[in-house]
Amino acid sequence: MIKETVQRFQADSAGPGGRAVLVAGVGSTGCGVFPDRDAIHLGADALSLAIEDWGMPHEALDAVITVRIPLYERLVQGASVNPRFAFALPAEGRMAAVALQLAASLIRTGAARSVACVYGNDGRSRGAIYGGSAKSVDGPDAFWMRHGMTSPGAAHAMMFAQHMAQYGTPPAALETVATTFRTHAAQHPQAFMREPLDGPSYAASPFIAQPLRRHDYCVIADGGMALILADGSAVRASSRPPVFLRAAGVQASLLDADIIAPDYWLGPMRKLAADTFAAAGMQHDDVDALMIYDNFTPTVLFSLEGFGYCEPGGSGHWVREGHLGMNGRYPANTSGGHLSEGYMQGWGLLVEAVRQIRGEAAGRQVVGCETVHFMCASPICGSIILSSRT
Amino acid sequence: MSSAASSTDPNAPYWNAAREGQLVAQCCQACGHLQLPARLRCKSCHSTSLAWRPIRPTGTVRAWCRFHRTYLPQFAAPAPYVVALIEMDDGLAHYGCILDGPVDPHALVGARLRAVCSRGGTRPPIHFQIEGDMP
Repeated sequence: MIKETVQRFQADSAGPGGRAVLVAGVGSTGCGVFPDRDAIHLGADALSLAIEDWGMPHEALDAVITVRIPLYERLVQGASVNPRFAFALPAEGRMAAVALQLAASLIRTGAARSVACVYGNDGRSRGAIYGGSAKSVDGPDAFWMRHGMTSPGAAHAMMFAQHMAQYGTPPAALETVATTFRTHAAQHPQAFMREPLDGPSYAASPFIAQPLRRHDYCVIADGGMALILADGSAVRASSRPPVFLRAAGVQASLLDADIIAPDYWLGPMRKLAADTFAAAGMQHDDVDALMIYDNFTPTVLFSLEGFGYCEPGGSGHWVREGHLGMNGRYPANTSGGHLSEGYMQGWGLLVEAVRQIRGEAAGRQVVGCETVHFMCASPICGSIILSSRT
Repeated sequence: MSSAASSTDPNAPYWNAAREGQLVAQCCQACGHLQLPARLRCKSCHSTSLAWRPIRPTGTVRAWCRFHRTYLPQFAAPAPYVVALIEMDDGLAHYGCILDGPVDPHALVGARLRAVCSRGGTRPPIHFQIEGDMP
């Protein structure tokens, strides 16, 4: 029970008189199979690219936050940077928004003028498996595993089964999500899965955790991604169009996270949407493109409902209307997303958001893209609003 | 992962009772709240005075998932198998395996299930059976 006297964390925003935060540099190794580079190597390569993109000398980097790279010391050594402080966040994709909110907070408080968030993943070449490996043999995951409930995909499959029963959601909505994002990936040279995927090919893919098929699962890939956040009042070295982090927030619901969320995280996402849109001084209509954390196709549906792009229960029919395609109202996951670009746990989507706002997305560019909303539905929901508008 | 409960497993009372054919849950001695799996304190009132007591082994299916790929050896034989999320009649949520699940699992939502003790073999220690007619 949350007492009313408890001071809650607020979504990060400039607020009246606050400092503006820029996403001043991005770097990506691309997604694929890179057996010769481990996660530290991939992260270091991405950070070097981000520093180059930033245009500042590497000595200007104040802080490094690594995600999925536990050895922050080796990352710093690998990238040959010397920040005032560095630390690691754990491997979960939900940490992308956590890292960005934290980085923005450091800048707004003046604790750092620039913060690099660095992600590295060598799961493709080193055989990462996301089912049937409990972190602790005695933990809640292990308890339910002994009842046969053994993978993150199964939890999302079960949530979608409940959504179908509750709202009559058409399974074809999942096909729309998978094929739409694959169409986008075909225009992205750095995406892993670029061959066309049509409806029959989707339907012919085998069930893994029914009702989810193979094409409802993200693609495990190797890759490194980095974003550098910087104080917007500082001198800018880059001639690239500025991208402002207008709002960043998270909302956890961890207490019952070992059982699927009965409301598909609708409650925490609604609160977070209200917080971050208010912090950004924006509304849905200001948004030009979406980057939706798509570890599995149903997560996209839950996110659209939770963040208010469609009505609760209405996401299935809504996506079938084509809103997420390049010619739709809200082009989504234009990089191909986790489903086709590769499972970079939010970081590939964040890099793509910056490229879209800068107008650097070439054949997949959303015309006139000024504002992008990144969202993540998970036991820690995340919401990030990036924009060229000040 | 054996079905024998280790002495350090906070859920050992659950698995021991399961082998005797009984479904139990952790019960708060202060407020009566039931919870699974075991926690260090009551989720509702934060009391650390917790004990185990039998619960009714019946409930209603809220959601399902059919595993076509198995990750654990004890589930290799019954694959594909169904796991349901069951709203137990005593008010807590419980994942449970249905070894003889229906061909069309969509019809499971709303079905009544009963926990059954699994004896021997590679089966999970407890599984669930459909009671009566499907909804």
